[in-house]
This record gives sequence, C-alpha cells and structure tokens, in this order.
Amino acid sequence: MIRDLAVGQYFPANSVLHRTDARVKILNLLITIIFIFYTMNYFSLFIALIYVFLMMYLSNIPMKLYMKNFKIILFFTIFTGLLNLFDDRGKVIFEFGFLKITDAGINNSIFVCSRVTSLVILASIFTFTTLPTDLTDAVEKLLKPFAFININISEIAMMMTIAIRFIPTLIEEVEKIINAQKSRGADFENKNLFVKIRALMSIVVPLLESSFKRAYDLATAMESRCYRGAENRTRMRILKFKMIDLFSIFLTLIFIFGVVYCNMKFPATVK
Amino acid sequence: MEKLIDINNVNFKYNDGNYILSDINLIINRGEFVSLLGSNGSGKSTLSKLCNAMLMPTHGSVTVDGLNTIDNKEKYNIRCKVGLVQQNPDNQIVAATVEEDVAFGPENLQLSPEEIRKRVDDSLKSVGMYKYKDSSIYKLSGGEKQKVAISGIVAMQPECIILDEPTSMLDPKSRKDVLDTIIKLNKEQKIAIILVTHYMDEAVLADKVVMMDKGRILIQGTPKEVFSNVELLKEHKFTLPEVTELTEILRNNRCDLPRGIYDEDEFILSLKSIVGGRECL
Amino acid sequence: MSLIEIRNLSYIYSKDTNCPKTALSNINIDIYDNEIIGIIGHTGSGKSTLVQHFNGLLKPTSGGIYINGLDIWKNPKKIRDIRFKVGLVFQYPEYQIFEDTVYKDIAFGPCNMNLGPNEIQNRVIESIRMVGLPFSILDKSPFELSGGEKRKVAIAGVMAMKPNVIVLDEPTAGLDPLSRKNFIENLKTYHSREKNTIVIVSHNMEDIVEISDRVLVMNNGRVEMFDRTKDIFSNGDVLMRIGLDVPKITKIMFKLSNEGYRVKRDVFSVKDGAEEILNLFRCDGGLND
Repeated sequence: MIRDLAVGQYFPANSVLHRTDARVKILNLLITIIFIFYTMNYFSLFIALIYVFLMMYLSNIPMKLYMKNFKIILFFTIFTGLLNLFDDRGKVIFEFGFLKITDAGINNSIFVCSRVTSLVILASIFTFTTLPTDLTDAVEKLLKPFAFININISEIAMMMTIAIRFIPTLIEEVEKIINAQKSRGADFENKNLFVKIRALMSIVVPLLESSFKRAYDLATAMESRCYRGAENRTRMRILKFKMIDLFSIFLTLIFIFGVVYCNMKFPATVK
Repeated sequence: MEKLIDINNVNFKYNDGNYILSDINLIINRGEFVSLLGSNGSGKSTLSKLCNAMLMPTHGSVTVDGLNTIDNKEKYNIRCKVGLVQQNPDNQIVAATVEEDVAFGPENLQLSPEEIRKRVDDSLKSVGMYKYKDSSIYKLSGGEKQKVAISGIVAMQPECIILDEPTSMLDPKSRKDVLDTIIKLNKEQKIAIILVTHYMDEAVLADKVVMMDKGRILIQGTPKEVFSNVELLKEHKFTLPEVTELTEILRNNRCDLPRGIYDEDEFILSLKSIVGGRECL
Repeated sequence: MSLIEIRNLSYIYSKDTNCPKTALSNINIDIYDNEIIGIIGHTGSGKSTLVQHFNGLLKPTSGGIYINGLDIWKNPKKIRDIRFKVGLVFQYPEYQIFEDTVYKDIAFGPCNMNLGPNEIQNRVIESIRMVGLPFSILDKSPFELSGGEKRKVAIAGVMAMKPNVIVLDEPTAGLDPLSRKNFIENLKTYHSREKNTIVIVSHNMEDIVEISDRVLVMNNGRVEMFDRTKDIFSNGDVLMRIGLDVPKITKIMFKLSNEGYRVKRDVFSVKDGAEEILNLFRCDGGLND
C-alpha cells in the first residue's frame, strides 16, 4: 500500500541498531552510501556487501520486510542493470546481431545492481529502526551548527514531525475524495483537457478545504496542550551518545578502511 | 463542594458578529461530571473554549481555580488545569506514534525526561492504551485514537478535561469504550469532566446536565431535575431520552409514574410498583 | 425481477501482496425495486466494502453483481454509466463539495451525464427542494454554509443524477437528534415521490427501524441475516451476540417481557410501546381512575 511506503516504516524491535543514536545513524548512512559508490573492484564490493548483511543481521528486522521494499525497486534495478550491460569497451563475450555484451558490461551491471540494492537496503534499515520523531530530532541537532543562517531549526523539525504524522491521513483522504467524485461520474480518464482539469479540481479543492480545517483543529489542540514555540520544550527521549554508538561508528570506520584499502591494493574492475 | 471553574455572567461574540453566548452562569466543581447538551450551533463548543482560555469572554469573567482567563500570563497555567479533547481524533494528534504524541503536552511543560516518561506511561495505562505505546497513529481505530488524545491530556495532570463531542465520529462500540474511559478517569482520578454531546444516553451519566439553546443556558441541574421539565425541553425542540418520553405518554394516560425518569431500570422498577410484579393474564 | 442481484460475491483486499485480507465472502442478496434497505453491522463487518461494489467502485474478486439483470462488469469501460444508475453518498459527504456555488456543485453529476442545460437546471432545483433547502441557497458559496446545510447540498448533488438506487453511508453521523429526525423524514418523502430504491447504512438503530423495509445484517464479511425489519429486531439475541444493538424502546420491551409482563417484543416506536404498557393496565385493572 502507498500508505506503508510513504512513512510509518518504523518497525518496533529491540536491536543494536534501534538503540543507536539517530544522529549517528544518519551520518553512518550518508558516509556508507558514498563509499558503496566508491567500490572499484570485487574485493571492496565484497566488503560493502558484508557490511550490508551485517547491518541487516543487527537490525533484527524480519527478512520479508526487506523483500517488500526490494520488490518495489526490482524493476528499476533490472532496468539500470540492463542499461549498463551494453558497454562497447572490453572483451566481447557474447554477440547477437548488433548487440554486443562485453566483460566490462557484465562487471558494470553487477556493480550497479549491487550498489543500488545496498543503497535501498541501508535506507530501509534506517527507516525501519528509527522513530520518525527521533529522525526529526536528529536532523534538528545536526543542523544546529547552521543556525547562524537565521533559520529556526526547531520549528522546521516540528513541521517535519507534523508532516510525517499527516501524510498517511492525507493519502487516505485523497482516496476517499476520488471515490466520492467518481460516484458523481467524475471522469479521470477523459482525454479532454478541460474535463481533466475539472476532475482534478474536484479533488484539490476539497483536499485543501479539509486540510485547512485540520490545520485549524491541530493549532487549537497544540495551543491547548501548552505549545509555545518549538524552542520552549524539553524532550522525553534524549539523544545521548552511548557505547553502542561508538560500536556503530567503529563498524563504519572498519568498512571505510576496508573499501579504501581494497581499492588501493587491487586493480579497479570498473571505472 | 469546592468550585473549580466559575463562569460569571458571560457574554461572547467574535469581533463584529452577533452574540454567540449570552448571560452564561455556570459553576463546575472539583471532580464533577457535567454534560453540555444542545443542538448544532447552540454555542456549546464556544463555551467549552472559554473554559481553557482559548477564547476570552466579551463581558463577564471566567475563572479557573481562582485564575482569571483574561490574565495573559496565567494562560498556560489555566491550560494545564483544563485540557481540551476535540471531535475529530485525527486532527488533534501531533506525532506519528502513540507515546510520542502523549509526550507532546508534558514536553511543552518543560518537564524532565524522567518525569515525562513516567507521566506518559501512567496516563497510557489509565486509558488502557499502554500496549499500543509504540504503535503508529494511522494504524489505530477512531476510538483508539480518541483514547490517545485523552491520554495526551491526562499526561498534563489536569483538574478538568473538556471533551467536545468526542464520540460523534465513532461507531457504537468505540463510543462505549471511550465513554467508559472518561467515566473511569472521573471516578478514579477525580478529574472533573465537561462532556459536550448530542447523545442523551451519554448526557444522563453526568452529575449535572446543562441544556443550551441559542447561546443561552436553558436549564441546568441533576438529570432528574432537568428531565422533569418535559414541557420546557419539548418547547425548545429537545429530543427526550426514549424512556423519559415513554413515561410522559404513560403519565398523560393517567399512570402514576414519577417525573424525570431517564433510566430504563428505574422505569421498570417504577412500573412494577404500580402494576405489581404479577403476570397479567 | 430483482433490481440489484449479487451472486457469490467475494472481495479480497491487497490480493497481490503477501498479506491479503478477505473483506467479503460469498455474498448472495437480491434488492427489489422501490425498497428501502437498511444495512447494519459493526465497523469492519464489510458494509462499506459491500456498498462500494454497488456502483462499481470496487470490482469483486469473484462472483458477480447484476443491475436489472445485466452484469455491471461485462464491459469495464462502461462502468461510469453504472454510477449514474446507482448513486453513492459517502460518509461525511460535505467534504466532496468543490465548486464555487451551490448550484454548480449540485450540477456536477448531471453535467457528467452530458444532459442538456434545461434538464440540468430542472434537476438542480428539484433536488435542492428534496433535501429541504431554500432556493436562495443556490447562488451562495458552499463554504458559507453550516455543516448540516453542506451535507444536504452534497446529498442533493447525488439525487440530481436521478439514480434508480441511492446508497447512503451513515448519512446522519454527527447530526443532532432533531436534524437526524428531520433528515429521515425528508428521505421518506423523497422516496415516496421518486419511487426509487434506497440503501441506507447506519449505526443508529432508531434510524434503521424508522425507515427500512428490510434489514441486511453484516458480520465478519458475511451476511448474517437479511429479512423484514420487524423480524430482524425481534431477533434481538442474535443482534446482541454479534455486538449490535436494538432500538432503545425495543430494549425496554425486552426487559419488561423478561420480567414476565405480557408485552410484545417487536415494538419499535415509543408510541407503540406506551400502547402495549397501557394494555397491561387495562386487563390488570390497575389504572388509577
């Protein structure tokens, strides 16, 4: 379902990764993604894959959830894989008419597919193991040094929290409005531009109206729960640097070292 | 009884509109359960927002535990004492998971993390939602969401909770569940309740019933007192509880039943006393 | 011949994923012309899923649905025509209003039917009268109206399509008791004038008893009972077993009957209830003359 895809991917469990500080997880994610795309030969790729599998193991998330996310990008992965297969450099291994498949093409293909898959899995691990509020908290903390550019980061984090909360609600609402307008004969498949725009308006206007109502109610609710600006709050969960975070950083460092070392030690397979 | 909220001669209108509320005098005592009845647009919701300083009276005064709502620096103290739960459960939940949302109020009160944790756990337990504490909001039913909203207020440890038609969007089963939760909070934690509702069967559960019509209080008193005034209520087009209406028809047909019956069992007992328990052959 | 015929209908949500949920299983019902059908069942019993099959918003996973004997899914491209035959009013329909005047919004359905301008005008005027709103409202913006008025406008928008069947999902949710009563009265008048078929889904047993000829009871995606209103509600035990209620006055009569009083159990209005109890006095001689 779209709703599951949008957000709310968090999967409650008690694992090393669940307990790791969200700031550390964000930084780890960014760095490992960069280095996964920096893998140049099968040795470094192998290290990257080990890292990914280790993370999956540490996340304590059922395999079928990963499969679900993987299925969504399966087409994209195959497509980019195929695209990379045709590379006219290198030794021709297989020839069929004008189609030439070379060893470089096969290598490219393998690398691209593994990188994309790893990327998706690492991102999934992150969303599975991180509460949305922890994510926004972490973003807020990480952006603190940039406060000098005169943006209220706490307010932005608050907005993110609310956005995450309301995305599934709004998706549900859109589905409802579409069904209601279809019941009045709204024609969403018509080729005529005018009919199309009118049908679209019949979704957008009610959605806006109900969103204003929601915003008004939410403002009332927040105010009556003593909200007075995002800065004047304490937090129930405090992001604290723990031993487990050190462990997590240590793993990432080993991974970086491994990738860089193999890249230098062995010849590059892909450009 | 010690009074908690004192609404004294209040009139209210928005800037240049007509008066929405006129001559309102109402006292809510500590730990009291008050229900507020009236048709759509009778001013019930406006009145409830006056009680927690979301709106200020145009004339007259509203005091909460001795604090005047017009006093801007007491605004947040008043809102801690009087919490508000609205009609649509979806529109008042701020965070994506249950416990994060319940923590929102206490976080605004700038309590310590340990204190917030304790309050969140306690309040989730008190509404029976503790086992859902890590759940995503969108996976809950309407009734469960409404209980999370109530829990979010309870975590602020209020003296009084105003619930503005909290069950009108729920199915009968969830309605009962939410209502039981409200009654439990009133009985066990002695939190005063102001329940704004359309449902007669909910209203009669209260210690005090306040009937509103066109911005005025028509009548207030115990359910018995209020439902004894059948003519007045009918004149103002209130729908009576079925059992009250039944009693009224029977009384008009010279049956010797007391006035102001609103409870089925009471009705049956009263009927027994005049027909006798014996089987009619 | 029945107007709506449902044969062996089953519906499974998210069929292609790894967590399919059966929402409806093996439904067989017939709805006839000029009937008012009430549908009851608790949340998740499949009522809303079922009514979305009536106008082809959902396609049955298996089984069929026939209107006037024709399979509505025979030609999937023509499914829009079914929506003009079976009008569906969703819960809280006030949120579907989008035009800048009430007139235009009510005309949206008829416009989609490609009717002529005169016909559209007639239908708009007729349906605003049906829901009991003044003509003066037609030029107003829907956003100036009260919640109750907006709901009536939304319902008028479906009535203006003059469907053979109109399906209303919880039309009285959130209304105060007086508006609720007025709404049901209005709907009865509409029915006697239009002589069409009405299907009403509601949690409010008083509404259902007041208006329906027959009642369909849904439970766990199946038809639990489908019978005349009287027979359904005198079967109170079955309803209560599946977590549904009977009208309050009926409950009082049940209680009296269980106490040994000779009263009928199929009483659905306060007036009839009072009459039954007065009869007790008559034969008992206990009336205080």
